[in-house]
Amino acid sequence: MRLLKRVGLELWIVLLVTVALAGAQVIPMGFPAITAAADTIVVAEAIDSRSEWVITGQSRVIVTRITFRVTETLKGTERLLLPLEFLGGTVGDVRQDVSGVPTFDIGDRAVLFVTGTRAASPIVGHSQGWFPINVAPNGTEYVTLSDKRAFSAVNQIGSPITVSPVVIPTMTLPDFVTQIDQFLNTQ
Amino acid sequence: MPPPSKTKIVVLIVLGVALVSLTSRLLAYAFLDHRWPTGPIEIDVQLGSTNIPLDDATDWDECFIAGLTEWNAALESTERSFNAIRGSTRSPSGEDGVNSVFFADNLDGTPFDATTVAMTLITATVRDGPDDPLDVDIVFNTAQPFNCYRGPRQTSPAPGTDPAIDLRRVGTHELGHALGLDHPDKNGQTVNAIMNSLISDTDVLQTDDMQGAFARHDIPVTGIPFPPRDQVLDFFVSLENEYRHTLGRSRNTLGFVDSEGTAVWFPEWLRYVLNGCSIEEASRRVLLQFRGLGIQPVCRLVAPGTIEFPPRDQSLDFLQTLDVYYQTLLKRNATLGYVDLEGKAVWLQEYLRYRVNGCDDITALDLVIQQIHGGPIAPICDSVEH
Repeated sequence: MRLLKRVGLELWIVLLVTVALAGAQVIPMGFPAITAAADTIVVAEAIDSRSEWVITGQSRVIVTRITFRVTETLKGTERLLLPLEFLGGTVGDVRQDVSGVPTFDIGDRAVLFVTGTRAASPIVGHSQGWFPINVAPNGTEYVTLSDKRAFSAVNQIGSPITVSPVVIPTMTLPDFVTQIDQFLNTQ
Repeated sequence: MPPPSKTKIVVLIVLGVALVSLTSRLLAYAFLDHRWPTGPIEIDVQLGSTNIPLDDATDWDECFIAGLTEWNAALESTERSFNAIRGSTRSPSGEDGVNSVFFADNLDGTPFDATTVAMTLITATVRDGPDDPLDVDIVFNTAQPFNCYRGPRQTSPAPGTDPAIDLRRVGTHELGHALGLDHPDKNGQTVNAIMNSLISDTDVLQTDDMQGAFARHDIPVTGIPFPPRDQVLDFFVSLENEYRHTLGRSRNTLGFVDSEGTAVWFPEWLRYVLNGCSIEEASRRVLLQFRGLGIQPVCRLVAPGTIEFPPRDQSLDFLQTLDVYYQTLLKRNATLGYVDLEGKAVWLQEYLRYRVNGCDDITALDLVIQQIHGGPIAPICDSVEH
């Protein structure tokens, strides 16, 4: 699976996306809002995932703890590993889907906007601060919106272009990192 | 069965360019992993009263149940329905085996963030097929400025204030999750649906939502704008079996694209073509997706009755190009299959043509199989929409 993703095979993403994304209705967020709400912004890769039951008050829920290896920190404290906890997951033969909470496979790489506030999803706006990284066969790294749609400018975040007579030049990872840096420097 | 004769190919080409009646919605709904057994789905509605005047209900329960009633009317043929129970004083919790709807500022102890309007927690027993739901809880975020109204989404009444959010349309959306529906817009689709992930002006169930509920519960769906990918893949597997077992074809067709690749990329290419992209532009956009550059926008939204299927030879050209992509870009090894590229181009497109012209999955497969056996090209099905 990892090899397939390494070659940027969107096919598998398309096939898997139905089980990977359940969703609540959320209020759309633009790039400035997502950036401002993030306590941490990193480029990272999921390297471990474990689900377990936890007691929460009078009931119990399944949480999935995903450990990310950080390759670049754009905002927040620099660290090598970033453990994040998401509500939902599968333990034994019981599965809990929590609408709006993203799931990750080992090897998934992404730019993550992470909130320090405890929530069902530590990603800003549930999944709105999750920008998957795809690697083209020529090695170029691209980022897409969390629903795998292409975007070419940060002002399309929160209002993606769905109809266009011309192709959208997909944002590369270096360009996205630069734009995040520039935005943070103006704050 | 030999490859289609020249006569048949000519007929198919003529059919291919014939106008078909479609809307601009060119993919259909998306599923979560669970499915309810037949019977009533009981749900404790504990939203209660309010001290603010609601535009379209006397209390929150009534507002939510209006959306629930909308689903029940649509679900009639599925042998499932929601049964709202009011007045319960039970404390809802995540794993109590009771479906519940209530207000809270957290989901089982985990606080909501500011963008969350409502969340649905689905607990299910994992099965080989669709999972068995144990309970579903729909939780509305107390921090949001809810009201109950019809029509377009309201705007902010004054600078710095939040616009009222219609609880009914949010509830209708969350009930769709309870039924096993996912977000079509999060699955590469551009459709009008209350199941889209972002709140919009859409305030009632749309055809795509209802078709999704039918398909989730194995009710044949007609009038579908474009079949889901899993059904296309199922068709392709059936086609392989037909060539292998009935036609006695040998597994000697060399190719680099596997079944999943064909089932994903050919409909994706058609989706661009049928949404106003030229053949070349559609191929270009698929290639960008293929290279990991994300799902591209469609070229334009096409009015009903103005969409053309491409000629078969152009479909064949695309499949040949796809084969080259797999070989050169992905470095895939060649594999042997039963269906040659020409067969894929002809029969996959025929299947899709029947589907978008009102045939359900089984009927479309039957009609294609009949054609493969030399039967006539059947009339399209009635374009009946539930």
